[in-house]
Amino acid sequence: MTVQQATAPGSTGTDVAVTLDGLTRSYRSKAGRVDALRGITHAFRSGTFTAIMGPSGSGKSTLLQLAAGLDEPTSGRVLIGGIPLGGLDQTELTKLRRDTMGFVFQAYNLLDALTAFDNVALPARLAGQRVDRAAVHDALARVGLRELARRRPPELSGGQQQRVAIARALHVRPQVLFADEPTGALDRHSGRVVLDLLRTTADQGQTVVMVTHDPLAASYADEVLFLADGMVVGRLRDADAAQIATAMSELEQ
Amino acid sequence: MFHVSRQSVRASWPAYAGAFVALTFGIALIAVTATLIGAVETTGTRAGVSSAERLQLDDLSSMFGVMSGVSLFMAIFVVASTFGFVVATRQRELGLLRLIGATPRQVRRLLLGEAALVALAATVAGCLVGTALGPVALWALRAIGVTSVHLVAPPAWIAWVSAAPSGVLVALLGCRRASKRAAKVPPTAALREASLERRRPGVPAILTGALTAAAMVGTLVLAGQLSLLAAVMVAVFLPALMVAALTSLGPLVVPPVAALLARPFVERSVAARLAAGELRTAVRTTSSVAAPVTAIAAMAGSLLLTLSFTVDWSSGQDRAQFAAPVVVTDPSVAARLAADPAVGVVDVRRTVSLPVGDGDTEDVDVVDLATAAAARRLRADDGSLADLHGRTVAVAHTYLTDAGVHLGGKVTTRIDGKRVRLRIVAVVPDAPDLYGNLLVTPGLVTGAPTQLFLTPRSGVSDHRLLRAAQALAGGAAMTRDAWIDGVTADARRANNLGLLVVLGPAGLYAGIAIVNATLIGAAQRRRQLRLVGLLGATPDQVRRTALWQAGLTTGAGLLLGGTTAGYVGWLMRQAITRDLAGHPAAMTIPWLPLLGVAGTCVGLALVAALAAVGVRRRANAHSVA
Repeated sequence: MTVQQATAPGSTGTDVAVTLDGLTRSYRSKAGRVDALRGITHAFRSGTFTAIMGPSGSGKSTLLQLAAGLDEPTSGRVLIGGIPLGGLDQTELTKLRRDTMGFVFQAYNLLDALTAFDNVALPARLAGQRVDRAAVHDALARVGLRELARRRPPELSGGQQQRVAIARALHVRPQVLFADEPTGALDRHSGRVVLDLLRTTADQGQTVVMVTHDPLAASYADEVLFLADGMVVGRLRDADAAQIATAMSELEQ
Repeated sequence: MFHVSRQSVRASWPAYAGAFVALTFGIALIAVTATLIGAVETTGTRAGVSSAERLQLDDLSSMFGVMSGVSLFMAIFVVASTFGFVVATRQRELGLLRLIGATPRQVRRLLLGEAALVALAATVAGCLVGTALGPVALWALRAIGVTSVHLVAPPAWIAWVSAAPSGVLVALLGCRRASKRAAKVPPTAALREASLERRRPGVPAILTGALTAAAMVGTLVLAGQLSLLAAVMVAVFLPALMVAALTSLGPLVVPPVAALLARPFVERSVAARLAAGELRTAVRTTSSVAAPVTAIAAMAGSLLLTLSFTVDWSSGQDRAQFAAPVVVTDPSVAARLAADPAVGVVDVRRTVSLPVGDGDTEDVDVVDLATAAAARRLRADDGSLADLHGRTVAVAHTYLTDAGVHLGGKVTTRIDGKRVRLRIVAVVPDAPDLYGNLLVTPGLVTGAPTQLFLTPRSGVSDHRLLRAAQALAGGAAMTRDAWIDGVTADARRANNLGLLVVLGPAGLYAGIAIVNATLIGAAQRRRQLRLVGLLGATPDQVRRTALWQAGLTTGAGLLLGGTTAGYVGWLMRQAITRDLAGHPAAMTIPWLPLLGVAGTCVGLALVAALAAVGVRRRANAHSVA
């Protein structure tokens, strides 16, 4: 049995980037009440790479949205770098997100109207900062796209677009990078490049939280959280793809 | 943020091309209208323009005023719908902006920046087009016979000064709602896979809807008591209100109506089934295409019906009042007719133009009470015609409400340069073509003879009277019915000309809006239709789906607008029937212009849909290559 029982970790401490404290989320639908999350407590420590896995409808995406302050929990609270999200209004939340979080998801990560360079520079511009051209080019260089800075997203491949999105996240150096199926739409090679980039990001001190259903992708993480029916049902540390796949298939039975 | 605005407009200009064209035409229309009003002002103050010509010019001025009002109304609402479209189709992109750190205010500024850019370009283009079209419009008015006065165009800056601010105002008003909606797009919109369009209406939309519903119920309850004047007021304002309500509630109302229309065909044609599905999901396209159709159908339909029924009403009134069986339009034979043994009474209609009240000129009838009573059934409903002599006046019913006067009150006029106050001593029934709103006796002023109304001597048949009159006056003598038919036909012709001037620009604008919305909508669904193609739809099926979609949407718009016009027509009809109190009145429905409006709407939508399919196929060829 490779899946350990879920235990509530000590969620305080200065090295914690994101704290989830007793999170629940329920929706009202025509069929009645749907409990998407039923009490999740977890601390994502700084400089770690965590993968969240689980079958469809297990609450992975809801968890990610709550952690990023994109949705409000029914009960419980979320802290980013020690700041509770609950008391913030839309503008404060936007500013916090802008300063501390980056996002990469499956597709449509970029504004088609802007060049790769402008897409990377946009968060800084939105924050009213002067654009450091060298730093933007440097971020693009780190994802291997220095030469394609002037291209627009429709002129880039899916993998290249994903790398631009990661360059954008790297450029503002957010504390936390949230990724939702970042390799879902990519071929194996492009996917590996993207995962290596995420791994490097974590190694350099940023926190990465990634939702995925691909055991190979999850194997790049330090820790894998397994979700089922809105609860954390298992954790694995430093597991390889085969171990993760076994755990997943046990869950899906 | 302006940097992103500029890049957005540059990268996806086809979406803005619609907004640009709509705005450019709006501004050009306003510029042309300003030129026309300016021309009337400039020309009117020149020496050598007679008072009759000045009167004609004043009428033209107010006609152009109405025209620019209608144009402006259409412009605001078309631009609003275009910008609303732009926002609705960019949900995911706006959500992405929010996600990576744009505040709601920044998103709003982005949209306003885009609107400002489009408005700037459109203002320049619109002013240039308007300046070029101004002299053409002035020439056209003379050519089609609206006026015989030679109008001189004012300096171009007059048109620019009025058009440019109007353009900016229209763009900002149009974008206001859209930018507010854009600011409300949540960051999670970036994560949504399917862009299912929202159809929950906002508070203002619900309020407009409630107000319109209240107006409908109110007029329905009052239908039994509405005076003719009140019915005309309703006919003018209700369609505008209805259009506003249907536009804001469009996404809620139009798709079900279109689906209802599609129902009989869904089982038979796969193209119709696909189209019906698209109508339900692409809610915004559906309502954006239907909105201008509804607007033009409701407004043009209501005006056409109202004016036609008004002519029916006046000819009904004429017939009710008409005792003389024969009319002679050549007054010079009056004395010889009076001597003819077949003729009983020769009633000479005499009129004089007098300034009444605050400067308006009215045609005043100078009546011989005895002959008018015999030939035109002139009688007092209120007061007494026996008192009509010297400085007194009898007025028609509608004049009481129109001018806000009452029996025993005074009407001020000028006779031979002197101010004269006439006491109202009698109220007479309306008979617009037999006598005007005001009647005086020959002792006060002399009028010029215009027509002769003949009654037969006792024992003489109407037919013999007609033959006797024709012997003296030739073709100028005719039966009462022939004369009324002629008068009615003239009135309809004048009305149609007026409608062309008033509704022409608005109709053109609605046409642009229909084409625009169809093209943008098609561009947005490109991916979907490529998928349909991959699943095995032939190019012909794709084309037929587009045609079905355009046809069903336009049909829904026409149904909603037509229902509005029909309701207004029904109200008018009720009021007219009651006003005529039992006298029969013809009901003339102007089918040809009505069907013309409907056919043009459908035709434009179908052509635009076909054009969009063509563009799409070329785009597909590119993407494959």
